[in-house]
Amino acid sequence: MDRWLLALASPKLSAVFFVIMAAGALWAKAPGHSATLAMLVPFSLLTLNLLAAIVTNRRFRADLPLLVFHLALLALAVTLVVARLTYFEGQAAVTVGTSFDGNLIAEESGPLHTRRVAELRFTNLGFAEHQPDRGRYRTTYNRIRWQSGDGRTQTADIGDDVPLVLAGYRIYTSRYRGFSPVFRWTAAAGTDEWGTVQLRDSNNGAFAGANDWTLPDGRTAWLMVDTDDPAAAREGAHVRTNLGAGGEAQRLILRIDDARHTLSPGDQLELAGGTLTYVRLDSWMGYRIVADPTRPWLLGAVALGVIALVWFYARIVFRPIPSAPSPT
Amino acid sequence: MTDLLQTELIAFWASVIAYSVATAAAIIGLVFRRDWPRLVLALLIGGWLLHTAAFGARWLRIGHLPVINTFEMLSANVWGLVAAVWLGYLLLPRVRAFAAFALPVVTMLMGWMMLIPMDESSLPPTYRTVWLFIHIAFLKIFLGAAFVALGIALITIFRQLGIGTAALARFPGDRELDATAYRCMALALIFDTLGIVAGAIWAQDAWGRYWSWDPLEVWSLVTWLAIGLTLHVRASFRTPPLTNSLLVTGTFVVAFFTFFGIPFVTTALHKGAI
Repeated sequence: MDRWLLALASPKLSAVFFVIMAAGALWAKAPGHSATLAMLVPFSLLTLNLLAAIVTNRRFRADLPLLVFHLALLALAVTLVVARLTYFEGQAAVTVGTSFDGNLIAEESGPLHTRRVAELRFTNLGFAEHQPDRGRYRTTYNRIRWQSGDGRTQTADIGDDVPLVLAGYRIYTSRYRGFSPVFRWTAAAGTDEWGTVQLRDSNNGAFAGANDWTLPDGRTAWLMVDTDDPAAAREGAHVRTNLGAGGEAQRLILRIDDARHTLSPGDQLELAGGTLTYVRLDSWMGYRIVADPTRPWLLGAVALGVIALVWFYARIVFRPIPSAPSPT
Repeated sequence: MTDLLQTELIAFWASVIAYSVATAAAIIGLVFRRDWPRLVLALLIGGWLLHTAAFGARWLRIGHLPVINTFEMLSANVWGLVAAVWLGYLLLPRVRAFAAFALPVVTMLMGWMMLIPMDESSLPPTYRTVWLFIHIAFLKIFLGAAFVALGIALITIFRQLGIGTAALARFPGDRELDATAYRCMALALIFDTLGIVAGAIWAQDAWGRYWSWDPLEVWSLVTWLAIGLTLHVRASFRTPPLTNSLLVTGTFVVAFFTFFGIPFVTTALHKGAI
């Protein structure tokens, strides 16, 4: 057993595992490759090698900063594994004036993640995009309302890099946003049903947002915001609220089978199963929802490792260099 | 605004001239065994101060730290590398010959810089954070320390290969050069670690994930592993100076590709950043 442990602790193996890990990282970079899969083997080997070295190599016990640095590396390795097992990442889209109801467009998570995202509730109160005088990057301010743990209503502005932290989840606005026309469907029996269709992101007005949609009577329709020049952009610094929706009358193109209709707010369309009324144009905001419960532990392990590294090398860096004679 | 542009251009070109003359003086001094340490140092510090003035004028003109587009990244990296060279020149007087090996790299980068339009950049909202300064500052120190180590390692390599042996004979022995380069690489490891950690904290804050496996992150991990390998091999196997010098050179090549290759072959500096 000792022989195996000593063999595993070999510094030669450490050097080999460094190279394998670098190769794994480069492999992980290629599209379609799983970083977790790529790093699993080299990471595990390096961790075992590190553990065996700490146990068997007397130098670690004789040098406190060296020991602390390698223990911190070990803690970091363990925490990174736990992080991969417990992380969460999801995408959602919420129309202005409505609340997130737990439905996600896409999500991925570690197998040990305790999924509580469906319990999150927040309301999108509208957003503003500030375009500076120069440059192509706009800043997003999205007003959000939610109820805190004590039942009080809270509001805050979140953005692309300013999250709302709710029950351990960090909620950011994503770069995806679009129009969301509101309709009323009056069935033949006289019952009213309200709903909205989230049109696809228009890439900041580069093209008109559109989407397919199944009407309440089961037929498929295609919907697009009718703008004369979708690429027209305002020059200079300006603020755009809710993509400009709700301001002036905005027409929609609605295509059902071969029939094409142009609707303005308030227009009604008589269909076989009922009457469709285009009420108004709203907008939706995309959100990124992420969680990483290991964050404080990761930071702690890294801080400890960095302190130990500085401690270890400070003694070497500031030690006088012994002068050696020139080779000739 | 025009005044600031004028100041930037004059200071920038003056710094380019000063760096070029310093490079020529360092190489001529080495080859012809004539030492002009004061001249080289004065040109380096003078050029660097002018470059700082150009950098500052650009910062004032465009309203943010000018490290965003290709020209600005190259200029900022040249600024950092020259700072490392003159600091090394001051603090390590016995190995000043390293400047003759390191400065041609700066000249090459300046040549590249001149082929790129001096466009003004715009700052993504997620870059408006103190972590941008911390992240970049740590990585500049890392690259500077590795750059000085490269210059020192190249003295050993040239000597061992028998190139310019006579000109290089008057400098300290390989063991001393190796010990000096090792110290520089230790500093490089510390500051590369700090730079990566600062970047991860920034990414976690701004984009919700500390690591995205984008090309720059992957190559910065590879660079970190290369530095770790270089230090590990020297400490564990007591390898000869030539082996260590080759490892230092290889590590710098990886770091160079990370800094100057990856940002120019990907569409964004960091995939999740913009």
